[in-house]
Amino acid sequence: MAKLGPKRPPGLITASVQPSLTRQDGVPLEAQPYVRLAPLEDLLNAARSNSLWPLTFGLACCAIEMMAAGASKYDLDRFGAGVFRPSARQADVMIFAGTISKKMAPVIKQLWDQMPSPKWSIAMGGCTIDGGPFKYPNQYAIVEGADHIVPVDVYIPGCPPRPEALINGILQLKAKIKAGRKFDPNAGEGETK
Amino acid sequence: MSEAGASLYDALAALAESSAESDYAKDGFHHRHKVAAPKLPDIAALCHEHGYVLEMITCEDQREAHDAMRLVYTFNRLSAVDRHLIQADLPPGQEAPSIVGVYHAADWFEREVYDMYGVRFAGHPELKRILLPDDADFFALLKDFGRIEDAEQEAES
Amino acid sequence: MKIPDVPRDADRDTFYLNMGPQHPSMHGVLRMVLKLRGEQILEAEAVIGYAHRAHEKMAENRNYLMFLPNTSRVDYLSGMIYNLGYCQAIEKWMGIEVPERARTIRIIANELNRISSHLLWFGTFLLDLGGVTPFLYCFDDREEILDILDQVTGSRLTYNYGRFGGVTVDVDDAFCQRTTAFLARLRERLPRYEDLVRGNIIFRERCDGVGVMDQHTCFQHSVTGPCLRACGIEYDVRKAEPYGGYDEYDFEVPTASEGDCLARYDVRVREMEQSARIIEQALERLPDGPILPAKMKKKVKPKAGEYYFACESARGHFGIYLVSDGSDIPFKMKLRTPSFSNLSSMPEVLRNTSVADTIAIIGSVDVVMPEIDR
Repeated sequence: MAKLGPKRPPGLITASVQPSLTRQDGVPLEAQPYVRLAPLEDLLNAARSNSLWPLTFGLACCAIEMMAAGASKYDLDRFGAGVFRPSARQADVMIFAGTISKKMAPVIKQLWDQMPSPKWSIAMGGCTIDGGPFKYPNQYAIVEGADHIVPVDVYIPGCPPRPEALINGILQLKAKIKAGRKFDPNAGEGETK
Repeated sequence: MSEAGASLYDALAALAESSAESDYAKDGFHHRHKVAAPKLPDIAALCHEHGYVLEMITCEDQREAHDAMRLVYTFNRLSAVDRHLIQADLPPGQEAPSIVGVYHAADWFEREVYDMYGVRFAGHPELKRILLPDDADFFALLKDFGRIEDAEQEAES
Repeated sequence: MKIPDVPRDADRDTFYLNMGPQHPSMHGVLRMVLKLRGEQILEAEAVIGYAHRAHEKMAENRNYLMFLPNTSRVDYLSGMIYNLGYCQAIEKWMGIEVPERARTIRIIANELNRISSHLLWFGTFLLDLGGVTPFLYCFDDREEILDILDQVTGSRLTYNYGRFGGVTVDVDDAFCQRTTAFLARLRERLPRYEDLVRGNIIFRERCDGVGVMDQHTCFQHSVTGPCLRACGIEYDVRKAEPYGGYDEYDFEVPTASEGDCLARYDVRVREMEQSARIIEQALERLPDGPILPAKMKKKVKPKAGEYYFACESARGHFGIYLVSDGSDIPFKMKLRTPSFSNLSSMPEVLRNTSVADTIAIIGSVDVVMPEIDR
């Protein structure tokens, strides 16, 4: 991403203002709470992470907890993530809520392909992590984990995870998006700390 | 046993290979019947005449013990419970007669039996898979499919 | 260039519309293939199997106790009813006595689960029809039930509360007080829902006379539950084959006669009131005592043979057919789930309705896909 405009020579900005009352990027003191200069990518990432629109896509039991997370008590709207979109073309994040059966797998792949970039995915519940309670040797029915089909950004364990766990997962995703290229999965909890 | 219940039992016993009373308090059935598979449409018609509902159709893979696929039908009355268990042994590979003409519910039940056990039903309007993917090449609930022991052996070898 | 003469036939103006398995109306992974002429449905086909998780195969792979977690996940909205129903089935077949306190607690838990399932149905049905407000209200009520059951069992949705002979954790006074307070809250809320929803002209237009399932259709497709009761047949497994002590309680089985979406709505709302009645009676008579038998059965091994047990879930008649070979692993377990039969009537019911009515009708039938696909 190109940086915003050519770099100004320092003298031009600080000529009329005391040097100690400006930030490195030249924003005057009074304006600092309201102005943020950043590479465009950081701004876009901040916008994207604060308005994640999930796809309405419940597969099984976890879908109920996803609905509960979107309802009044655990309100996802306050994180900007409460606008569930029925069409994959309008959604940012795909929350896999429920077991992925082998019959459903091609449908999921198709939906994932239909989502425009940038897109993220959250694997909610044990079934989407590695098959969960339906995994046993030589099982025939399910895909053991969503990451067999699509790349997964956040894994939320639980059977089903509580709505608070889903919210935690969404906040983790927000931190991941905000950090952009500098994201380090080993750096700790991020925004939730 | 009420009048209607008694007469259905007698009517079914006339068609069945063997019929017996059953202890509902112990096993949930009032009557049990073993029938020959070709008689199934007549059995279904009798139950329908007496106003009994088809509760379910399923199948048991009894090839090892009895060299047969055992079809299981349960009929029950909504007004005063009277559950009949009807079992029909089918030699493996043979087709069973469909009872879709009598009970529409049999449509999906028989498709599920075909999907899970491979038993075909003659006279079914569209006998195709219902739960497994359309291109599945196995029948899921057969005893020699999908055994845990096979996976463990594969893992060892 | 000569324009070819295209013959005009009945099929020319038809097209196939695929609804699902991902679509906004909250029914899980159901796929309806509709043959349409304009808005009118000529034929409808329900394609299922997208939530097939091999419950019945798993039942043949593990012993009776290990299958307990599966039971809640078959129908997660009636998870408690299924879990306790499975325990009651084993107890009936093995002749295990359940202490009175456990029986009463089970009835309270069952009926709370039924109310929470109907509340969720109520919210999602209205959401399908376009009204978002009831969804938010009823989930609020539902959270109270989930919190009550969470305090006791540790789970919100997929309970593993039953054991063969009783329940795992005892309830305390706080549970009883909280449940009583909830019943008062529910009784105050239900008239508000009536005002908000029942009198709404859009709701009435979309549901009154829409999707009539008559007695013949219900009988032919083995429909049970509120769908059957909405067309006038008073069949409830709790009255027809009493289990777990239900015959000692005084409650009605609500029915309606029209068999349309509005009738199914009415039946479910009145069922919530009846469940509240049952809970009240159960709380009053909750006796002291143990919650598990003094001597728990170490191994569950039904004698070889066939068994059946039925209970009334929020969706209808849930039956378990077991074939035992005398060992501690079932030879075969068939789960006769109500939604499987209820949904099989849809192709017939949807004929000659419109696409918009499809949403209302399927919503009013209240299907849970994993219970159909198992």
